[in-house]
Amino acid sequence: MVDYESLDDHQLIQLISQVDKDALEALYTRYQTPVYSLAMFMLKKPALAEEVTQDIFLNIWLKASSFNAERGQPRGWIMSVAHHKIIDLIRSQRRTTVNTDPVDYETLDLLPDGGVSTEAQVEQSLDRERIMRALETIPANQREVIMLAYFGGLSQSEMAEKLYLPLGTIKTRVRLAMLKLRTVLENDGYE
Amino acid sequence: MATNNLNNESSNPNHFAHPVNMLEAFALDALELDEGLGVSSHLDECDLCSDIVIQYQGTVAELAATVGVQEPPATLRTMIMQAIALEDPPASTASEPKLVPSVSDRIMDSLPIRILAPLAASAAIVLVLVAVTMNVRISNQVDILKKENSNLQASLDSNGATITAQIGASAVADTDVMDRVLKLQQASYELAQPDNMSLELLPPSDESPSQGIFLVNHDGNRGVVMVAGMEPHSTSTGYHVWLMRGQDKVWIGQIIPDERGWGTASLSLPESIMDFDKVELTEGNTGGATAPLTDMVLQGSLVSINDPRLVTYAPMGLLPP
Repeated sequence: MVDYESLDDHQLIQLISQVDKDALEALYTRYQTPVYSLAMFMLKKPALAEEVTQDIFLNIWLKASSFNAERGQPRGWIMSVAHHKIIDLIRSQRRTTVNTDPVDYETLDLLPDGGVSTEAQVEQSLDRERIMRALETIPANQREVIMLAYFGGLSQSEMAEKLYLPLGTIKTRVRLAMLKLRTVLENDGYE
Repeated sequence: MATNNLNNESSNPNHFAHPVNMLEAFALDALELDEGLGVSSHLDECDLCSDIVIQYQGTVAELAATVGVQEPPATLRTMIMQAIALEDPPASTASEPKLVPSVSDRIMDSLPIRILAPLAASAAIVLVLVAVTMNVRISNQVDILKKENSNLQASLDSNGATITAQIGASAVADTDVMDRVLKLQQASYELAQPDNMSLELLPPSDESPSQGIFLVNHDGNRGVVMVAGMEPHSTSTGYHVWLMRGQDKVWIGQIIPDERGWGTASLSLPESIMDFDKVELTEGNTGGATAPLTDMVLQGSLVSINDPRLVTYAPMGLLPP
């Protein structure tokens, strides 16, 4: 009997690639909250969030063998799959139901936490604070494009149109913001 | 496939240049659809850009932690596991086998082969027809040569038989010649003895041109008779040589002159010639010892040689012309 809780993410993904459904259920147990939370934050509707969460884990089930354990962290890969699926859904919905107002993303810390344990809330709060500190080191105009892109699902050209800025300016801001955020998080030792 | 140098963006025109300015936006899912597809294709072949994107994806994943925690409904787990159960197993571990054509199939399917194959087949047929025609003609030539060979072989056999017969005849002639040579050698030997005795043989009448000489060795047991001016005898018996003693006569040999009337014979005497009175040559008569000699052609009296005399040979320069 395999003790899936004792296995790390790499091992679980390896087992999933070998068509181990229990491994997938164990991985779901670990990532259901961040994935569903991101979906809820971006989609705002539980039905859509549940639909996309199901789609995300089904995609992990089918594409587990494409994960290269030597070149990436499971968390980054899983959240990237999740974000990509959510963006696809947002764009398919034509962003009629999501909040694309950058002002809203500046109040992330005000979003409510619902239905989670105190311990998880504390851990989540620590991560959130770390990320928020990193974001605060980025100039506001650069942080704005990151928020619009990641949480709003806007492409660079859509951001340029929304912010009345040249596309090149948006691209430059995206690049600079990502470079700085990456550098800050690496120096913080959490990545 | 790995491309490890981002500075070589344009070195290969067929290769999608390293999209170094788009990797951050790709990790952020902020590219347009076509741009995202282009970068994704590049990442499939470029490990260096893939590593950069993976790092940015890790950074972006951190952003998810900033959102408020929302627990999914418990039913979602069941729904997901039911959806997975209905889904076909991941096909990642084993790719479908591709029907790869064999080397020979690929060669046969190539355009030049498809064009050249009928031409080659036609050429092969023409070559076969030419070969058959040539074979028939060569067979006919072989038959003709066989016939000629048979004729030549028959002619050769005939000539061989003729030559064999000629060789046989020549051998017989050689034997005769050798006999004559031996006789001449013996006569020459007898003539060369310095103590020989000689007896002149004369015809009974002066009208006959025949003459001869009878040489006898010193003990009278052997002798040589030589004749000249003889009539070529019609029979193979030639002339007979007799020794006469009173009414007795003893046949001692035979001499056959040639077509010019010359003849020589070497004789072995049964007893010493000194015991006889005469030597006579008769023509073809070998009658009994008491029969009269009616056909005598040459004769010589042995009385004249009772006093043996030496046969002397004059020096070459002193011989009369």
